[in-house]
Amino acid sequence: MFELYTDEARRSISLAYIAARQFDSTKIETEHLLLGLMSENLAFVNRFLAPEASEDWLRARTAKREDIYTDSGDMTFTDESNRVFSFAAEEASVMCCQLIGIEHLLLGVLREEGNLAARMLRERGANIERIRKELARCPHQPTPNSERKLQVIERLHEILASAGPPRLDLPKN
Amino acid sequence: MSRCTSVRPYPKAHYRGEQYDSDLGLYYLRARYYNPLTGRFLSRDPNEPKLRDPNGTPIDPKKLHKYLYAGGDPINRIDPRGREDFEEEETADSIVEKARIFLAPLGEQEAIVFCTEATILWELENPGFNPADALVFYISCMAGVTGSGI
Repeated sequence: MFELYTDEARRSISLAYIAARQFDSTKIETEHLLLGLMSENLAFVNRFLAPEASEDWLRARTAKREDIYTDSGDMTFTDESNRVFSFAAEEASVMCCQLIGIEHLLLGVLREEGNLAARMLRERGANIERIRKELARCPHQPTPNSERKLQVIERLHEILASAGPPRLDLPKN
Repeated sequence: MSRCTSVRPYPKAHYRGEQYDSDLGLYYLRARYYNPLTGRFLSRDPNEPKLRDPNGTPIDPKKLHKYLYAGGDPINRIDPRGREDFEEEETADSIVEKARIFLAPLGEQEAIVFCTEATILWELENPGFNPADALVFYISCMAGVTGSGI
């Protein structure tokens, strides 16, 4: 299903899976897709928002579901999310891009009007026409994977360092 | 018939996850045994020393030492075969393993952030992944770090 997506877009979708699970949802909603986009590349999303948004802000507005995850492995997209993918494919086609990237997914989220994610983006000043013009003027350049890998390793080291001293279980003898 | 009633608990953390012989106090590294107290191998390097690499560049003099482990830098370099040392590459798996062994249990919020970042790293190492596979990695990562899923 995601063969035509860039690595960055795929990562944002798997981060949406993770976000849905964290919110105890069996369905991947548009707000989870937006969380995935922000987790993957917050700077890119904030390029079109004023004031800027944070993941914490979005998480606070995203509700926990009552349909508790059952470990069945069946995570499905809602109809709104599926429409976001269709809109994203259309946007990529209009922009003559062979692969669907996070910029197209962001436009797809905004085009699916009435959903929570689009409402939150509009609250922060996101405008679909302005984003299209901005992208035409200055297309999105994904971070090279090698550079991104170094950033993530650095971040993991920070988390490990902040988690406290090592707890070594050395051999008794 | 006698029966063994005292079972020595299996040690949880060993250097690089290698096989440790507690009777000898040595690590088994395939071609040679390694003594962690001295930082030296028990036997000579089975490879013939070369003064220059295939490009003609003089090699690091430490590599001429017949018994030295990982060029004297066991933190950053590894020599799992006892024949040649190299720099350890950090992967999502090795980082998760490090967190599991050294830092479990993290707090829930820390674990969520850690596992999300580790999943991004896993995805960078696995181009063309299916996002559902990433979720499986994430769940197993959470289970490894916190001792249970979320």
